[in-house]
Amino acid sequence: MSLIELSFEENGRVLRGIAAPTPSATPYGNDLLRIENFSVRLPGRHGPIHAVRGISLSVRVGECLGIVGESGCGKSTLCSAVLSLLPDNAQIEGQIHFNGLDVQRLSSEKLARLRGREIAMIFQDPMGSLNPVRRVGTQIADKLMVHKGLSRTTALAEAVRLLDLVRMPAARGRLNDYPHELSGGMCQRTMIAMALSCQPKLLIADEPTTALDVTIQAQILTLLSDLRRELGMAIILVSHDLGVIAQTSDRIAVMYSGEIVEEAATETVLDRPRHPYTRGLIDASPDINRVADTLVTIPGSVASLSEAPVGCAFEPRCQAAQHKCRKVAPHRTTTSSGAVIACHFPLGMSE
Amino acid sequence: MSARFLIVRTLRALLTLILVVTFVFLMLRLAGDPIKMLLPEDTPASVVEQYRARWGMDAPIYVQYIRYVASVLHGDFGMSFRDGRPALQAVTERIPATLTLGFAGLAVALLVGLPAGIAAAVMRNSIVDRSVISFAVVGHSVPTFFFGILLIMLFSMSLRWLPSSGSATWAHLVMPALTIGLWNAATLARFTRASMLDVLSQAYMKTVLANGLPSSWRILRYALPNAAIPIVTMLGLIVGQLLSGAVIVETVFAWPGIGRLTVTAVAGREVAVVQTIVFLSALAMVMANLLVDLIYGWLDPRIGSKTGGMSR
Amino acid sequence: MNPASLLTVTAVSRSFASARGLFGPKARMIKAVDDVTFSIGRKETLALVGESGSGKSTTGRIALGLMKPTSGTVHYENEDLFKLGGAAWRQSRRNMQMIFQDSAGALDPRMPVGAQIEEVLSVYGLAGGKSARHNRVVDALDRVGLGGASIEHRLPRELSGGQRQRIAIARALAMQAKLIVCDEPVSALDVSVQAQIVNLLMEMQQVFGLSYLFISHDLRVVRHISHRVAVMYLGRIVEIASTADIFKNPHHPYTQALLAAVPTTRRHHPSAGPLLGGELQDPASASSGCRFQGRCPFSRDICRWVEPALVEVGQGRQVACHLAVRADTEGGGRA
Ligand SMILES: Nc1ncnc2c1ncn2[C@@H]1O[C@H](COP(=O)(O)OP(=O)(O)O)[C@@H](O)[C@H]1O
Ligand SMILES: Nc1ncnc2c1ncn2[C@@H]1O[C@H](COP(=O)(O)OP(=O)(O)O)[C@@H](O)[C@H]1O
Ligand code: SF4
Ligand SMILES: [Mg+2]
Ligand SMILES: [Mg+2]
Repeated sequence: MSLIELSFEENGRVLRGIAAPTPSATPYGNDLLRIENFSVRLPGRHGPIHAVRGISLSVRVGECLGIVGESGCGKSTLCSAVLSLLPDNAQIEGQIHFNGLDVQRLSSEKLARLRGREIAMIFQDPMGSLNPVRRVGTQIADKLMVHKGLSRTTALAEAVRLLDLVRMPAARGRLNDYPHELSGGMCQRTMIAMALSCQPKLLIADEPTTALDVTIQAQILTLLSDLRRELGMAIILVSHDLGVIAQTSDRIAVMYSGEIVEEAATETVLDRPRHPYTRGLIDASPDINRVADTLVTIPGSVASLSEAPVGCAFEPRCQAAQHKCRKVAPHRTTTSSGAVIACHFPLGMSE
Repeated sequence: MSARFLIVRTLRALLTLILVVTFVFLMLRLAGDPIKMLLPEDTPASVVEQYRARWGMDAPIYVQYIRYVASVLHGDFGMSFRDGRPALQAVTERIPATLTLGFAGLAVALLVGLPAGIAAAVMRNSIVDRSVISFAVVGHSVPTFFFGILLIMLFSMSLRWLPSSGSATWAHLVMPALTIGLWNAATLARFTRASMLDVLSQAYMKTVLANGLPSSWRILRYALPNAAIPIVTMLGLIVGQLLSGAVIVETVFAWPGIGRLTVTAVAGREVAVVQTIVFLSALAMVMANLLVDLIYGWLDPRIGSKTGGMSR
Repeated sequence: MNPASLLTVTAVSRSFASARGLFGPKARMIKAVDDVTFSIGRKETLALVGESGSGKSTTGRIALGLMKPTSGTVHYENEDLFKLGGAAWRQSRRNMQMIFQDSAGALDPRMPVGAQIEEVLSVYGLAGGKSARHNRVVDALDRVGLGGASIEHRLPRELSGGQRQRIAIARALAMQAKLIVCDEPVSALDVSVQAQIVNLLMEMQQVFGLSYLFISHDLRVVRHISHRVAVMYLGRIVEIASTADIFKNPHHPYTQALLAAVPTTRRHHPSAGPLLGGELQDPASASSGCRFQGRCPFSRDICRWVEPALVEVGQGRQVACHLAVRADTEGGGRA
């Protein structure tokens, strides 16, 4: 066989025995996850950091939602909130509902069940996310034993199947390896195998490829897309790289300074961005298929999250800004096509 | 853990022992003429010379050194002047008492210190945490003799529950073991807490939370094995110390261990006995450290593994 | 050696002993850089791309004379860098500067950034008196968009990542560098800031006629900034060509795979090739034959046994692949 991975025969082989959950209606129609007017304040050295500012967002069954934004804009904080993983000293407002359950009001058993079986999460640093003194097979098996009540032997056998599913080379032989014996890409595959072990309905991938080399990144992104199709789970894919998001997501939410400034179908966002920040982000990202003499830049640097501005947070860097932007914070508006935008003067609107 | 790791560690332990022997030898020569120190000041010169020859002290220094090493290898540390018995025998007969007290103290330290440190870290900033921190600070700053005397006043003099000195029965063991154990427990608790806090803040612990594993698994199977790595180093030091005898506690409770022998031997200028104790203490320390290294290699698969980690 | 070029690196190799000692198996030598040859012209940007561990940084350090190669030579302005003595060495040292991914590591954390640049200037005896030095620093800071009095008095940690990269560029400018080795200079920056720095580097090249050895793993930035591209795999250059050639018509299977793996906002980009399987290899695992053979989708029998040489396949274009040489004559290869 050629070394091109992910051929379809292989998919067919490794998939036996896993039935894709049928997308069934949830109490919110098609919305699996619904975040409403959610805010998070974290204590910082110089006063509280308003890391998430009144975000509303929903994820449908089986969909891939991409969240893109520069570092420190609150992406990871938002992800952690969905699994109720924020530090105890975080001040939270607003609600997160998953499948009709209020995530913040769950008893600890229900929360453990939610974390184990319903929503899974993978992180930016795959090597650091695995316990260095526990064998990778054991780490996967532990989750299966707790949430599926399997015996250790069965759980380990299941772990092999999962590692196969995520195309881990020589899966069986890897069970007894420690994380430091695996490459970064293999660690991320292990994390994905662990994430998938209890057939979650939602996978949150927080910068899953940022620490990986480009060819390995492509492997992991392809794997995630394939698994989503095969298993019918929804994915929230977080990245600072618009290219990564664009390739994988159905819908894109653009975050700036703790807020979602624009949200629409991928094509819409890329082809007809309405928010000046989105436009700037697209123009500033060099693209392999587009050569320009100079890259368009966004002047200034990312706003500090400590003080919430009176007006629009992007105003100091925005070229379309007018007087109103400094005085009044723009509200999110939903267009007829379902796109969401928070800007007083969206691009492409002839007034 | 590779064989190479074992060999290197063992060689290192041996090297340490050789250094200790050499050091003891040099200290003994540098401390002054041992003959003059031992004999009464008005001993005639001819008698001094006689003793010097008898104990081989008239040979060149390197010969003395070689003889010294050879005799140490044979377990011959010289005679105790007091009772004319071999020094080694005088010391070894005290070992059981010291071991008993040492391990009882260690057990107390582990049973109190580890759980306290773990609980404090897991319940950070709670009442439990603050109590443990207070215990650790107070426990470490109160001198052991003071604590020992407090115990004697309470349990022997007021309550009359426990004997205050000697080693005849198990009841004699309680107070000295508590004194040593609690003092070390304070150190251990503080250390365990810090180590656990560090581990709990690592990225892989977030994975465990996100996977919804029960807290008992999270703490005992995921956090503790990582936190144990530095704790074991600490324990190695504690064990080494306990094995060399606790001078103060043994004195306070009249416990017939090596610690008390040290005091009498130093007071009586029993050079042979003192150097035996120094050597055996060093041996205990080295063995404890070797043990730590081995446990280390067993706890942490990254240590001494064949692949030092793959490049990404 | 090309007399017209500013820097010529000829047949440079560098081995490291892998960290083993005492009783282990005999220390293995890792060839981090293996027989690398390239040159950089005046006002030219040569990009060095490849995955982590491919030897890019090592090559960069050798090119600057910061590290001795195991074998091979580096000529700067036709002088052998490792045979220069005293004054000439100092001269070339200040004409060649380096910018790192994280400039914080290259700056003294306790000294205001302006003073640091002045200090380096005085160490090299540049710009005469104190006020002349200060003027030059102010000038350089102005050039990189950090004008205004306050920045020069700040400590490195009081600056953002983008500002620190600007400081690094300003320092190179103040030293009147002619060649700057940029080792992943924008990899740690946010996109909007990254674009600012890329533009600044390009602008400074225009104004001061700088040459760059631009080390990066991000082909999108490379396409934008460089004139020529050298692709490294496990210590070797496997393809070197003009930027246009590399991106329009990559010859080496590894270059093709790298390009195919680049995430793009255009969903179906024309150059999409096969996705590369397998894991990253490290130089210690190199075996006989082509070192890309284990991951190569086109590998043939010959690839297992014969190491392909870097051969000229067109105007200023070299490839080290048994098949690419043939494909080129067939007109355009796989694409
Ligand atoms: N545990 C924490 N305590 C205090 N501040 C935090 C904590 N985690 C993140 N922050 C701050 O919150 C902001 C948002 O961080 P994060 O959500 O990690 O952003 P992103 O993932 O988009 O890079 C940053 O300013 C960061 O410094
Ligand atoms: N000082 C060093 N000692 C030992 N090995 C080194 C040293 N520097 C680099 N290497 C090894 O050389 C190889 C190439 O490293 P490097 O030049 O940093 O690659 P890149 O910059 O492309 O990631 C790697 O395998 C690395 O481990
Ligand atoms: S020489 Fe062979 S193995 Fe190497 S890149 Fe070319 S085709 Fe692939
Ligand atoms: Mg993040
Ligand atoms: Mg590098």
